Amino acid sequence: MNKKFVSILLAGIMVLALAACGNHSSSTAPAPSSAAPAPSSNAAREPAAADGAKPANFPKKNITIIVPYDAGGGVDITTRLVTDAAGKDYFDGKSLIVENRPGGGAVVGHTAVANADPDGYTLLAYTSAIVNNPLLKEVTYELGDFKTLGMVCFDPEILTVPASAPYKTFDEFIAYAKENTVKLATPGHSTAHHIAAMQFAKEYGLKFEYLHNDSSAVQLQQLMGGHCDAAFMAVGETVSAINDGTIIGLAMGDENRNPNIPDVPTFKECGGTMVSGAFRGFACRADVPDDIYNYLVAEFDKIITSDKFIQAMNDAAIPYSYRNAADFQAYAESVSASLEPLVPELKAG
Amino acid sequence: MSGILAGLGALCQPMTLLALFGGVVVGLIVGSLPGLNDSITMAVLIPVTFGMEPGTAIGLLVGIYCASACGGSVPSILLKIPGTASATVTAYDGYPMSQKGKSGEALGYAISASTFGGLTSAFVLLFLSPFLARQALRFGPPEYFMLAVLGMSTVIGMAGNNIAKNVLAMAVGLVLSCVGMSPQTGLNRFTFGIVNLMDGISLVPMLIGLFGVTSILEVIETIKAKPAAKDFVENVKENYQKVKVVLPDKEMSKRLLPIWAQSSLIGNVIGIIPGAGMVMAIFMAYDQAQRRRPSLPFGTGVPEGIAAPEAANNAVVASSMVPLLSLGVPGNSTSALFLGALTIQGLRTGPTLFRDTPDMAYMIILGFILANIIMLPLSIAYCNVLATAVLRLKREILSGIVLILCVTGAFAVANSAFNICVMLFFGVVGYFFNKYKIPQSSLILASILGSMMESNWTQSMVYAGGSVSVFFTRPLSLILFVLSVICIGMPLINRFKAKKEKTPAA
Repeated sequence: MNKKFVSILLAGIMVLALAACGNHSSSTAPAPSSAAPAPSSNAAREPAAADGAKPANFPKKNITIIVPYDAGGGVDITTRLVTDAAGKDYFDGKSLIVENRPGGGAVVGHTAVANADPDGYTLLAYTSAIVNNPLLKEVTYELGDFKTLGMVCFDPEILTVPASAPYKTFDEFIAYAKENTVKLATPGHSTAHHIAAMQFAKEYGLKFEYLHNDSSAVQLQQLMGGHCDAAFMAVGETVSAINDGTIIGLAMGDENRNPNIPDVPTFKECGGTMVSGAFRGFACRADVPDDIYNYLVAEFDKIITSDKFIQAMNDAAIPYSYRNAADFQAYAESVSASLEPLVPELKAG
Repeated sequence: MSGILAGLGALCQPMTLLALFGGVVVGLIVGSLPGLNDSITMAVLIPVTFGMEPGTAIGLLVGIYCASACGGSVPSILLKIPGTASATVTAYDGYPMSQKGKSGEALGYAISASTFGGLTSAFVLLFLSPFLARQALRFGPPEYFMLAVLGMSTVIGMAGNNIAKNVLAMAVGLVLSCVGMSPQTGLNRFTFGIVNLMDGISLVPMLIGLFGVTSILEVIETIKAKPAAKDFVENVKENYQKVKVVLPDKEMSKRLLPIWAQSSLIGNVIGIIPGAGMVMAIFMAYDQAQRRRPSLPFGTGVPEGIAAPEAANNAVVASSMVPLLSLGVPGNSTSALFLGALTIQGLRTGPTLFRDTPDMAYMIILGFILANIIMLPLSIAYCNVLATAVLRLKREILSGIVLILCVTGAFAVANSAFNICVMLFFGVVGYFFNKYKIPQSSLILASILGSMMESNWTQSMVYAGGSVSVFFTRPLSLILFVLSVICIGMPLINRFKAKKEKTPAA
């Protein structure tokens, strides 16, 4: 009798669990992408045309920014700096609230924003992953489902090698790599660094084999310990180690050199073309009404160009780099276009 | 030496001390709540620390990190639900002991061992940091792979008499570790199109389910099995009127000292290696304690079974800061948060930290020592209050509260309702595992180490061009391999011997 009761109870719980899971997946299924095939690109080009005057009924409540990564990471800290700088001085006294939705290399957070109501109350911390994910993973959204509000950070790619490596300069590395297969460490498959490495290999006709880690910390340890031949990382992660001499920076993917590591040349100086890196900014759904969108853009522009915010970014050693909404949109689209030829190769592994 | 003095000066600021004290209190509380842990708390608090003085901010974080590893053991012992993943093993002996009405003693063993382990690692951090950090760099993919193998081999030690069920649980764990994106090719495996599974099964909801939900299901069973629940409640009331934490006396300390020492050693070694993690340390420490005291009935409430994992998890705390402070490489997710907090305060980790800001560098280290010292009286006071309150509650009401905690905890990890489903699923799995006496520990360990094994196996193969010899030509890897063989072989040889001795007698 008792056993029967327990088994019925268990069955009940299981049904509940399944039902809850079922609800969840069905709510993620309807993809907004099919309904709205990238109308954003045009809409976002001329946000400046409108003056960003406050719409009558917006905002009535606090605005949520979904960060598709764990709390405490670079994107999270950058976003929290923005909400901190905004305080209650913008958005008619309403606040910006951070909500972390990590998982699936940012897919979970992206999906959450893509499925949110297009009322302007749910924004996205918009990073390079928004370009990579629709190209490389099976997701229910695409780049055009979002329109940008402004960029705050650009952290260029840097090619680094262990201090113990036989090659100490960019040219020596290329010479070595032409003769040998290079074992290159990444912080994970289909991350921006992995993609940058593939682009680089293609440009110079090199052969890389990849050691995919699950974080940039392990990647850095691998590099310092000499367990790989080279690694693509973000400049911000490597400044201390390069200055300590525990790793060597060969070249970096920006237009100009970085003042913190003045001895590291750009790829362009070395005769290459690569200008690439991780960007961070903000976006909302592409079908947010125009008056609300223009207001969001105007307010964000004020916040991310404020002295308070720029000072906070400098204190936190996050490389501040500003683009307005329209430039940022165009930039993200150009990055996406430049990656498309690589997709078959990436998907092959 | 001047650096240490400067650090002491920085630490002795009233605000810093206050923050450290507050951090320990916060750490004990979040540690003892299932679902909340040190990294979630620190991540939430880091933005708050922006505006603080560096000393205050770091004091707070150090306090939280140290105390949460100790606080996790409280619900493990009282309710069989680990407050943090690092207190998983503590439940094996802590809960049976608590059931015998010896909660006070059990908590005392946990607190004393935590303090001991924490202090050893703080001193390791103070005196041996640069040397050990250089050793940690020798760990490449083959070494990590062999380390995972060594970790798995400890399961054999826990097998008891039922190797078949153990291997079964291990196999299930390994399959579970395959869920998610393949590390080498990026292909999705066993995700069934659910994006929440792309990163694999989240550990915290799984543990909450296996322990928390399972134990609630078992309580439900006992309620119905005993209609005369009145006696049961009264029994509870009589036995647990007031819990008072009892620290081990001189004799017991003497008995536990070798366990403390060996577990702390294991914790320190594992802590220094970036990415190895607390959970591995507690399983290895428990396994080694069993090997050292084979005559004791582990799993039924043995002091050693509490002391070993508790000393080990706190020994990981400060030693996981070794690679961060000396090299700038965070050893685990919590020390990665430290890296973020230090960066925001304008501090740079690595050799620069000791050269340019020795007062801050030594303040952090001395903070770890002090935090472990003040943790002792604070956690005793906390446990006295909490344990009495918790155990006074009717088991049925308590289960309801626990279920609420479980659900919020599972949700809070990633603000995801999906994780609640994961928790419920593993609650049912855990229930049937217990019914059929299949050990959960092997499942947990295998699902954690499985992905580490897989990713480092493929990396080693890429690194060595497909040759297995890489595992035997690198000295460290070879040593780990030999250790694993010993770990697996010893119980088998003992068993063989025992059989041989029996046969002539019979």
